[in-house]
Amino acid sequence: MSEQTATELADHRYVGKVAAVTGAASGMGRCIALRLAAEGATVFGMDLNADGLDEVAAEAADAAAAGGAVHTRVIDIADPAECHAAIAQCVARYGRLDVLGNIAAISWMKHAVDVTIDDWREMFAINVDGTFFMCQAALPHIIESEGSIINIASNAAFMGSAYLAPYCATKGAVVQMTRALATEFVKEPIRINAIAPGGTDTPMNRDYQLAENTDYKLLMRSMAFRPLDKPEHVAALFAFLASAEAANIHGAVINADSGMTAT
Amino acid sequence: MKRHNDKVALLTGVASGIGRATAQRLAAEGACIFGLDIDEQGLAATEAQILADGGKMCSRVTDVRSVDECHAAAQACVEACGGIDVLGNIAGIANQRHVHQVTEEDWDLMNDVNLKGVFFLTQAALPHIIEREGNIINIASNAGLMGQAFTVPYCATKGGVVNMTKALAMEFVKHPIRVNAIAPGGVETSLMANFEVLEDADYSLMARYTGVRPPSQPEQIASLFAFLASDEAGNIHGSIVSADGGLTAE
Repeated sequence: MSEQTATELADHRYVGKVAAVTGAASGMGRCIALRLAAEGATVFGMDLNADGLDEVAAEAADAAAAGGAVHTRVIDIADPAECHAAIAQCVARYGRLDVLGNIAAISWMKHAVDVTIDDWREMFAINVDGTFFMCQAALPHIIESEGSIINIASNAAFMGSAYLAPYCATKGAVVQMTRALATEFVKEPIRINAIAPGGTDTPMNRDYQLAENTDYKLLMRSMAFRPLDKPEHVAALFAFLASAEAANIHGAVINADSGMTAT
Repeated sequence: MKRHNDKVALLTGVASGIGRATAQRLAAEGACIFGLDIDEQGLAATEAQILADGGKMCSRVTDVRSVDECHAAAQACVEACGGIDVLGNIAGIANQRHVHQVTEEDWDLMNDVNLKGVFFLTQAALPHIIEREGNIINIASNAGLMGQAFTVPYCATKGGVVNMTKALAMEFVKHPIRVNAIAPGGVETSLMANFEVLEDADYSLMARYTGVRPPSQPEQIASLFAFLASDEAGNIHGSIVSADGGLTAE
């Protein structure tokens, strides 16, 4: 590959592309929205947090030089009808959809006996239902553009972590959903993958609520040796994975967790 | 973006296929390549191509089956280029055999190239990688993650590469280095072109691990390698990244 092509691929991968990103108001979603916009994408950022979305849209003003921007829509992805409406709005406004990033999620720790049915349903509604119905709504458009979908899973999909039974279950579901979709659409010219980050320096982790009476010996079993990852690293992987550079990566779940799942 | 400017990449298997494409890609992004292969002619052709494109490359004919040669090659790289930032263990062989046909010689050859060579070159390079806070990428295979009929020795070596990668990642998790593997599916290389399928193979078994999508291009593995070896992948450690067009998703 010539020097010029390598440079081109790395710097201008999203010019003319439209990317729909959930959880765009903070953390990984915010970093991914900004990274794609900086590489020229028109980003349709979604979140429940309206103020956060406004801030990200303003921050993305710098991306204008590359032709990128972040536009926003407040949405509750727990409602499948809203997922469909948001994707329809994105395509109506920007004419196409090349990338869907399912990033929005919630997490908390509780003893299993303390988890209520409402806790359980809320976790699944956001982390699993939201991811699935966004995929369902986006798929026809992604096929039309020969684009790609990236779901954010978690190391929790692979490690049984104490006090995280509902979260682990939702992220395991995201992993298998990704793989099943990849097989169902293997004959279509699209790519569907997941990223499984470890602990990342985001508001979700900074404001993390531990379970009452936590047994720290158990907690330590799922603690990383390395410091919290930067969300910018997840964004860099996302930007690579959703680009033409990753054309043969399909149905993969990429661990980006500083070695947490190596053991 | 030249993510590998002034980095030194020690790569095996650069005479052809994934190794050659990776050397070309890293050189295009500014790296100095120290390329190893047992195939002298192919190695010289890769070097000539990279130099003609304005890149930097030194070569050394090396048989990775020899522990002494692995250590000598790493030493030669440090002497020629000043250190090692990236080690890419790419050299590998593959063949199909029924279990009863596998001789001790077949078994030893497969293990020596695919597993022993990877370990001892890694052993030789590690102190230098740690010094530069660099990283190691091993080329595994979807065969390291799936049980495939008629390739038991190959599957065993690639499964070995997968778990060697994870074990190294754990042993060095407190050091500022990264160790990862790429698990490609079928890639259009000389290894695949020369792959001899058994005449009496049961195709219904082989169909289970034959991709629905066409084989990958070596350049696609090289672009993943270039990302993974760069600072952009600073949080990826101990990972096995599948790049197989959906083969292992099933």
